[in-house]
Amino acid sequence: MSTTVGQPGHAGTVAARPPGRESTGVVLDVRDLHTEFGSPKRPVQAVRGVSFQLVRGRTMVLLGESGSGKSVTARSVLHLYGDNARISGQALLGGLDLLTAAPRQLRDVRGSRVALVPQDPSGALDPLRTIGSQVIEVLRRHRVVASKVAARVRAQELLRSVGIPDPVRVARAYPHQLSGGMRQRAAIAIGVSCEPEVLIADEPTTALDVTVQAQILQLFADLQRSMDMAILLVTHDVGVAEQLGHQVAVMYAGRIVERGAAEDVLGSPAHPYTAALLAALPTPGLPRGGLQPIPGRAVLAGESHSGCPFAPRCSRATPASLATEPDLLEIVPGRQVACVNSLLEIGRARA
Amino acid sequence: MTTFLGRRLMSVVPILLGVSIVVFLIVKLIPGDPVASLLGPTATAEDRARLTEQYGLNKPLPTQFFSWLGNVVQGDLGRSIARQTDVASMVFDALGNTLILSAVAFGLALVGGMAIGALAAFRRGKPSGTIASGIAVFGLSTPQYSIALILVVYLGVQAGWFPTSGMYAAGSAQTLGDLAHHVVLPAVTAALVPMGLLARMFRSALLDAFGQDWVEALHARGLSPRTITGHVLHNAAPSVLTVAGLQFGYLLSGVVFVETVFSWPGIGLLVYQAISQRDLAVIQAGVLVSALAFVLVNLAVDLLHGYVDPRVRQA
Amino acid sequence: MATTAEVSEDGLPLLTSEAAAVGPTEDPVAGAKAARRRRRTIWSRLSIPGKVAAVLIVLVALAAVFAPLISPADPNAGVTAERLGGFGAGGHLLGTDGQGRDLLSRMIWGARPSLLTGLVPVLVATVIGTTIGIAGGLAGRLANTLTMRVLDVFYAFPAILLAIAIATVLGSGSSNSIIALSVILIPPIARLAEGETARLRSLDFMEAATASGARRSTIAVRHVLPNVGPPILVYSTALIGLSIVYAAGLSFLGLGLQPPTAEWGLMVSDLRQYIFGNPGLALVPAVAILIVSVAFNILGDSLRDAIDVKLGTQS
Repeated sequence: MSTTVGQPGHAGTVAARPPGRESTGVVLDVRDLHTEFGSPKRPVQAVRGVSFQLVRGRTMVLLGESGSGKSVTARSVLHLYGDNARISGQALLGGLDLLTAAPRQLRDVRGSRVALVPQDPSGALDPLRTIGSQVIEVLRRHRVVASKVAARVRAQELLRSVGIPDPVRVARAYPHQLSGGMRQRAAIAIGVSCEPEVLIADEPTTALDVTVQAQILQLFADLQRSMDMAILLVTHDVGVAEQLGHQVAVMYAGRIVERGAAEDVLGSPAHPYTAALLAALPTPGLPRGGLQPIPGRAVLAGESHSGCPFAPRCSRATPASLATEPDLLEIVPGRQVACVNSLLEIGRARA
Repeated sequence: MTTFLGRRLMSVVPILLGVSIVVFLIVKLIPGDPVASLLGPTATAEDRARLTEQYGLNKPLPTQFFSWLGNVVQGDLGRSIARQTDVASMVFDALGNTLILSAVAFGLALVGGMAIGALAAFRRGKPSGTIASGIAVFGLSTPQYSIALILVVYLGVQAGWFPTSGMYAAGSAQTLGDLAHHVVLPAVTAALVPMGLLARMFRSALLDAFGQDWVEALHARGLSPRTITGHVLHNAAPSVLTVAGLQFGYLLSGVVFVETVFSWPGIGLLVYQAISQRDLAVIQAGVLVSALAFVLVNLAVDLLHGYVDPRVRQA
Repeated sequence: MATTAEVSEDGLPLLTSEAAAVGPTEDPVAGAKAARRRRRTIWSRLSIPGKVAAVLIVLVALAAVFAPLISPADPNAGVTAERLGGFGAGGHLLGTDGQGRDLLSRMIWGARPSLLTGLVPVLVATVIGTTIGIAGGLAGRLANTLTMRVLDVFYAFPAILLAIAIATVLGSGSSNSIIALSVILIPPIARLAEGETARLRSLDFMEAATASGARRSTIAVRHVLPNVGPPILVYSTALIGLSIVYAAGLSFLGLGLQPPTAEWGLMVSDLRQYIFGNPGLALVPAVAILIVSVAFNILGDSLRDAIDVKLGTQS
């Protein structure tokens, strides 16, 4: 999709994006992804036609609340639901469609070309194996190293590269002996151990303290720069989206409702939901009493509706929005919105 | 690991003390005059006085307790009234026999239980899995005496495949084969409940382990199904080991019904016979040794658990 | 494969990482009560085996209650001439025992003491054990540790051994059996109650209740009990089966009810001597106990699945 480079970030953000660098091409092309759970008679559609492209060295943020389908999207790409879900669409990694690949091919891709860093560090590590052994296991599985000795050395290098001060001690430690931040770094180390083309990070900072969050985000930025990885970042935290995102795709009720460069989407949102989301979150500098909660509750995946799923809560809703679900349309080059009453008029971007 | 070991050992001491107090009190509370049972109705007053003095029966209770405890620790468990032999040797012989029975039963329960449990977990929702679960529930509900009788009737008396009493055929040489032949029915009887419990535990542990979040992370790393199953089994092992160990403890101390029906000369049968004979010293020693064995097995299981699951060591 | 998606009854998915879970500050009972109103009754949520088991148990209970009405003959009236008749001999559906008493009548009348000596200890132990457990769970650290240590000593004894020991001390008879069984059932229930109470104590709504000045007894009754109740009730139901087995076992060993009372365990012991000629006789009560035990276990499992497990964990 868009290949324009965003402007250097907002005030206070981490300098994550190397200015003026040209992107070098699409790494993962996801087309019309549909993910459905439950029985065929009572299906629950968690993802309804999501498409996006991941670009080398760039971060795409899937931004949304609980139930928006963002985590399901991320996991569907790696086909992690197996027989529990029905997935259609394409996830093209180079020439290979991950959604229809043979099991062995899929296993070869996972961890080496596309890696996952799960949300909860406790959910990323086997509690009964040492950190070191788990890193080594991945390295040897994908034949990144030739011998056990080389594996151990490389594991320590990796742990050091993710900012763990004492890699030797940590490698011998068990997950429960480490703090949350350390565990997350270890999980990241495992994720990047084979220098993947794509790193999927699912709410990587949600379970962490605020001070640690900033460090982890910086870590992602540094790793992206040094490995030229594409990152798919799933989050509900606008701040995280601001700091790391080059592209932001806002999800609601299983679809993307707005997409564009991060500073555009977050700075001048086009979709009423995006605007409401930004207004509902506490930001420094907001005057007292400025929080605006969004009325109603978020639509959970699978709830049936007619028309735009956000319409019942939208201040700009019209009979047209309630009638048919709007398509995702490009209003300006590089900017897409699924709304008939969007805040930006088609053809005219706000300055 | 060593501090964990130390702490566990320390915690066992008060329990052992409590157990010995309870055992001592139990026998003290059994109605009846021990001196009268020892000497019979024709005893004279002097005989009774002498025996009372000898056994220290006129001293205050705590004193009696400590002298008894002192004796026990030195290996003196008293003399059996009924058989006029040293209780200690009786009890340890019987314990050995119970150990044989328990060990065989435990082996059956462990192998059978894990097989059935794994089947029930991996074939969940399919007929074979449901049947496996059903077998587990059935097994763990069986009363020992009921199963013992069923096996005796059908496999022992009517089919004649297995002997139904004793450890060896009377009068013959005590060969291993003879022993094996005799141990089958009692061991199977004793193994059913632990097998059912282990099967259910193993199934539940496996399903739990497969449902953990990190299993998905392992898939995301591209590891092979076999490797992942290995991780899962490793994580399911601690809880299974704990339950298994406890079951061994129960087997050691709870086979009284099996021993009664099959006339297996173990601790259970010994205590049972001593009860009807009012052989106090034997009752005391038998209960004490059984409880002791149970506590020690539990301790060993605890330590093993700490070895296998490092998270337990901090507790 | 690992999955993070489940579908609740209403068809809505509960995506684990995004589920709207009951927050730790909410009273689980209030939330669950609301949930229950939306769901079907407990009966309808039992599995099919659970329903069958429940019906079976009710039938047996009814037979026990209406024994005088449905028993074909006097359970204690034995006609020597008709002794050891096989099934159907002389109009006796299940035959006659060694003293010519109608087996079917003895089985029906025997259901009473068998069920009673199983049920009463569980009731007693549940009341006492829950009280001890909740009190211990809410108490200060010293009282709590002390209580649990004492319970640990009882836990150190294998249950059946302790029951036998207590029954020996107290003497034979059904009430002593009941006492002995109550004593051995109290520790596991107390431990469960204490564990659940301790878990509950860490929830915020408990702190809120204490901070608002409520007395501990009020907290216990109005907040702890409703939350701790369901898992304890489910556990106790499963214990009934075990208690019936143990009670019959005590009678089997001669420590419970005495002849000529009709009681299933006693009948197994009595009829065992006829195994070689009339195996079916002893098998009738033995299988009856087995079936009741299996039924209670199936019912217990089914109940556990039917009641929302989020309210507590099961051992």
